[in-house]
Amino acid sequence: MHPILGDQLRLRLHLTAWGLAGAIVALLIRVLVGVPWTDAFVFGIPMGLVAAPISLSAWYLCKAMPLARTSAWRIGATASGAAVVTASLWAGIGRLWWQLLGQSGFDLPAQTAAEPFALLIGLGALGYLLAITVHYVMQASQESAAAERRALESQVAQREAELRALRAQIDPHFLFNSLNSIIGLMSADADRARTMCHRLAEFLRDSLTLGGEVRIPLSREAALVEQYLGVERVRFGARLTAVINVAGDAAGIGVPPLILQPLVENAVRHGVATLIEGGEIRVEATITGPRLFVVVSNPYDPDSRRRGTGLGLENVRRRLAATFGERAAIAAEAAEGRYRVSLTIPVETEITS
Amino acid sequence: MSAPDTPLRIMIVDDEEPARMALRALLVEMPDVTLVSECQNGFDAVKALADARPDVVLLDVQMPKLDGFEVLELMGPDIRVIFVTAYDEFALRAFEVHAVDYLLKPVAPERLTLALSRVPERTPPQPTGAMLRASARKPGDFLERVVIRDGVHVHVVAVDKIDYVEAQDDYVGFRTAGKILLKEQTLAEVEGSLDPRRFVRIHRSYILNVERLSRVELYAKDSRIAILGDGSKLPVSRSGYQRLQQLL
Repeated sequence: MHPILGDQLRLRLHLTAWGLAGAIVALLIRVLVGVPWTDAFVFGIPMGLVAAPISLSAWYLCKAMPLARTSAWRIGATASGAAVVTASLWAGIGRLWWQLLGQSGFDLPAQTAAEPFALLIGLGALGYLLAITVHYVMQASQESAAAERRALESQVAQREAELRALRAQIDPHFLFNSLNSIIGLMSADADRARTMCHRLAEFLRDSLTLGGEVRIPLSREAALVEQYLGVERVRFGARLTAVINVAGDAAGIGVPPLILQPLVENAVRHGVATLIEGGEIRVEATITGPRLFVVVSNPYDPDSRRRGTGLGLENVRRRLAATFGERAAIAAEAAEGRYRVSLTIPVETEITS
Repeated sequence: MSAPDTPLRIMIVDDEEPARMALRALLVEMPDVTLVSECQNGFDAVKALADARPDVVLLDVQMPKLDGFEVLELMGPDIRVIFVTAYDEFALRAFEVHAVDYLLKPVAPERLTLALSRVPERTPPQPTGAMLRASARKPGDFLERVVIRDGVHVHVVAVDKIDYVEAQDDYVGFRTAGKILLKEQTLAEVEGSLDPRRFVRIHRSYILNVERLSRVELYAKDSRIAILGDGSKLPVSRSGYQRLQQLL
């Protein structure tokens, strides 16, 4: 759609501008040829208005030669050519209009020197070049609006992805298995069933509450991991042991909520659960200079067919990148029967709670 | 369902104690069933099969070392399997290996009753676990390891540790680490389950791991032998040689 025809306000501005241009023509005719004011305006204003639709053609010229992808000299040459041709056409119309008015009894001398019409061509060309400039400005603003919309859309998409990721961070199978454990314990060991229900409820409530925060202290995240492991320990019994070590100066450092939870979930599912004897999950957090280092490690069976999809790790990587950009890092390695995920997080905020 | 005088013999295999407790609690309430064994992992299950002689195994899928599908492969053809898992993603595969049913944890009592009622009174002849397993694989999805039962022992052999596979009457022999492990299977089944980019049928009776090949020598007209890295020699048929050339 044409940016002027498609917009009421712009259309009105456009017509007003060309009406004013008509008034200028009238003024010049009055001064140069010496015709009475009324007659000058009867000639000039329609001349301006007839230029209004003609000048709209500048849009197609701008569209054919986008500013960013066309050389300056080509734009200059084409624009000047188009301006001269269009202005000549317009001046021709002017001449006919002049004669028509002269014959209809207006005080316009039939034999007038060619200069006023040469002036019309010049004015018209100038006006057309101005129209091209205005159209280029509109084109640029349209493009920047589109770019802004794209940026906004991608921001919204990222936000949605983050929310989806957050929801995916608690594996529904964890819930099914937990419920199954509770059912199993119910008749034989009601106390353990009750304990499990409480742990599960606490973990779910806290992960939902904390999930809405922007940053939580690392000690809070570690406590959530502890709660999670408490639930899983009911399932796996003595096979699952865990050591969580958060250095004193690291406890208050702000981290995105649920950033360790998916890593510990992986450590259970793809690590300890693949071993008949089970093993120990370790979470260690230390501070060196301006950085917080967190390492989650677990033993695993290198022959296990139960490989992770890398989705949990990828989620954590994306969230770290979205929050800290280049300043955060995540690395995973397997060595000596242990799988190790290391996070590097910039120390930004200290949260006391 | 079995006649009242011969209750259905049931084995539970699950690595999580509360999960075993949940099934046990359900079975206690049911008539005409008897729980003959509970195992914590696939190895124990394979070992216990001979003594326990179950009719039906309630089998978890995700367990350490041997998963439920591998346990099924190592069981005799007369034992029926009902998979019990929290994951629905294995359902199709379970159906393809002719499991009686596929139950999702937590299991409702009515659902277990229904599954057990589907166990036929007399087991019809059915293909061996290995054949079923081969048929359950998706195209382009090849075995990464082979499970072989040797008395009460179970060998889990990664396919890249296999030098070659040879046909021996009703068995196939997997040559690995200087030993030959026998398994009741046909060479064609093995060939179909191994990655053709790594394993080539070089002869009617031999499948070769191409990484083990050192060179091929002409032995007589149209007759070649493959010499492996460790000096072993295997016959190569004419069509086998063509297949080998295509791959290399």
